[in-house]
Amino acid sequence: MNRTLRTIATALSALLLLPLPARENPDTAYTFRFVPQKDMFYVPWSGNDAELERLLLCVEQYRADILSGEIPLHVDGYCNSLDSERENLRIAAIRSNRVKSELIVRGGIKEECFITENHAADGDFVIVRLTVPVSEASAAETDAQRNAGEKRPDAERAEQERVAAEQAKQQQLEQQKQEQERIAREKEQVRIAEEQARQAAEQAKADSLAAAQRIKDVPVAEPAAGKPAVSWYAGIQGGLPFGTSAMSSFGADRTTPGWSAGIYGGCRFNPMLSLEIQAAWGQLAMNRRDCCPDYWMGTDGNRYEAAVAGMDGRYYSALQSYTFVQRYAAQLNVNLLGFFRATRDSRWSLDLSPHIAAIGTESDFRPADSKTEVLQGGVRWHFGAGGNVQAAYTFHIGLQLGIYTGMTWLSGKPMDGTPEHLHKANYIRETGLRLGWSFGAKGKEDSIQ
Amino acid sequence: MKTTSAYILLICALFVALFTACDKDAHENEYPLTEGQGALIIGLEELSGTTVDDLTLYLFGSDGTTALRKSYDDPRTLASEYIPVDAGSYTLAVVANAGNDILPQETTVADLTEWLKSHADNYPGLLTASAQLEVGAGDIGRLHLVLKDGTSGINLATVTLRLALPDKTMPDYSSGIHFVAVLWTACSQISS
Repeated sequence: MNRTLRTIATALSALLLLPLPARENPDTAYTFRFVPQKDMFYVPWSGNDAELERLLLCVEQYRADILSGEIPLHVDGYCNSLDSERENLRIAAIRSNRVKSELIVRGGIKEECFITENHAADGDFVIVRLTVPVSEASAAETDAQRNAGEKRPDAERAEQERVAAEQAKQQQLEQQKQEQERIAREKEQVRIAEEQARQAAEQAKADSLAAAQRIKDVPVAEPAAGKPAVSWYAGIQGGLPFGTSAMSSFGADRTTPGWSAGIYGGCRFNPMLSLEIQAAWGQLAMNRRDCCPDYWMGTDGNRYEAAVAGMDGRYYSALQSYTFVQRYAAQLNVNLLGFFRATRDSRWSLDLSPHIAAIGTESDFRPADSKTEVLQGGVRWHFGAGGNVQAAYTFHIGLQLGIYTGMTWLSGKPMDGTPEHLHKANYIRETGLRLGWSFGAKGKEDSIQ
Repeated sequence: MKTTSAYILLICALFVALFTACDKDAHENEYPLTEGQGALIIGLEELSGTTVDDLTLYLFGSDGTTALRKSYDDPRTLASEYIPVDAGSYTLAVVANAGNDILPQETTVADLTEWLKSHADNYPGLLTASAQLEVGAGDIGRLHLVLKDGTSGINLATVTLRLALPDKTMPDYSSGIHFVAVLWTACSQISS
């Protein structure tokens, strides 16, 4: 029995002396974490300090083998927090370099001891691996087991960190998107507010115009953009004309006004200008002028210095010329108030109105105290030119009342029917009233003329 | 637009200026006269309906002699003109329808009156008119005479004497009084 137990123990011891069969040396991995998108190697931070101490102990232990190249250090840098693969690789490379620098400076090894590889994937970390000999398995295996054991949580942690980083990135993207949406909303709100303010201002302006118009009681025609309002108008006028020729309404013995009545119609182009045509009829009564000698008019229609023996006639002092006048004119009205911004839309207008006319006169002579015609002066046509000064006020719905005064010069022979002699004056002065109505494309809302 | 407005206002201003155009004295120099002269404008009226074919105008000066004699074949000619005369006192006599060539050229008022009375029967359409007048220098005297049948138009009953009394110290004072007596007699004869 004793001999058998001794044999078994010897065999077992021999077995123990046999070399172990060859098997792979386990890798020892050390993981260093980085802030997403950043390349700075923060120590201490997120366990980097403990991991670095462990790695430095391992490097210290295997420095000779590491420096000789038997145990290379595998460095893998990772980055996936940036937009492009190029950027991720660049950051991963920087991270790897920072870790290697730390090991070179503190661990006393060289760049040639590293085998470096960078990846644009998986997360934001750097892993340093080195393969240690198995004979040191008790410590190495314990380390390996521990590393393996730790590697699983590290991997999980890395995975978690990767997921967290992805989540953080997505969260950041989400925040950026929300920020952009918020900015877009704010811009839209600002635009809407500005639009509302503009509309409110326009409405306020329209309201103030309407209010002012209600006060004026005259609606204002809003012109089309860039163009003044055009309106048509018509009316009647009547006045007292005074003629001056060889004879005059302002005679030596008396002043005799005539009468005139007519119609007019025209177009107002803008607050300053309007053009109208007129037709008027009337009569003038004229007597010998104060400056004239008492000439004598014979029945032959000639003027004499004195009575002709054997011929019927009258001295001028005993005659009155009755002249029927018909006038057809075109008149331009220039509203002086329209030239000034403060008064261009006023109800008042003050016109300077030059005009040209065709004027027909038909005269007969009567004794001053009789309506019986004694002499026939004949019909004469004249070209007339002159001007008026007019002032008018426009009521609501386009009704306008005005007053005018002016002169018209006549060409040709004296309008009073007398023979031409010395006096060249041949004009009519007239003062009267106008009553007009404005109408046209915009209806009775036009307030001018 | 501003330029157009300025032109419009300028045109209106010109029209306004036309309003102030003055009517010069059209009668200035209507009857040009030399210094010391006046003029007569003679109008004649005929009431009986007799046609006036010719006119002869006599202007006698203060001395009774003929200062001016003018004949007209058309009464319109006389009515159309003014007759310049030296300032002074005149007696005017107008004879119509007696023939301008027949009437004496140089005569006196009395002689003309006598002639007309003696030849009135030869001119049945004879018309006469007369007047006495003063013509001042620069004055234009306008007369309106009525032609009367025959010699009835020559009516010079009123004689105006122009007499300067001599000074009482003059030697001929007494002669002057005698002169007045003779003259009074002559006037009485004329008026009769």
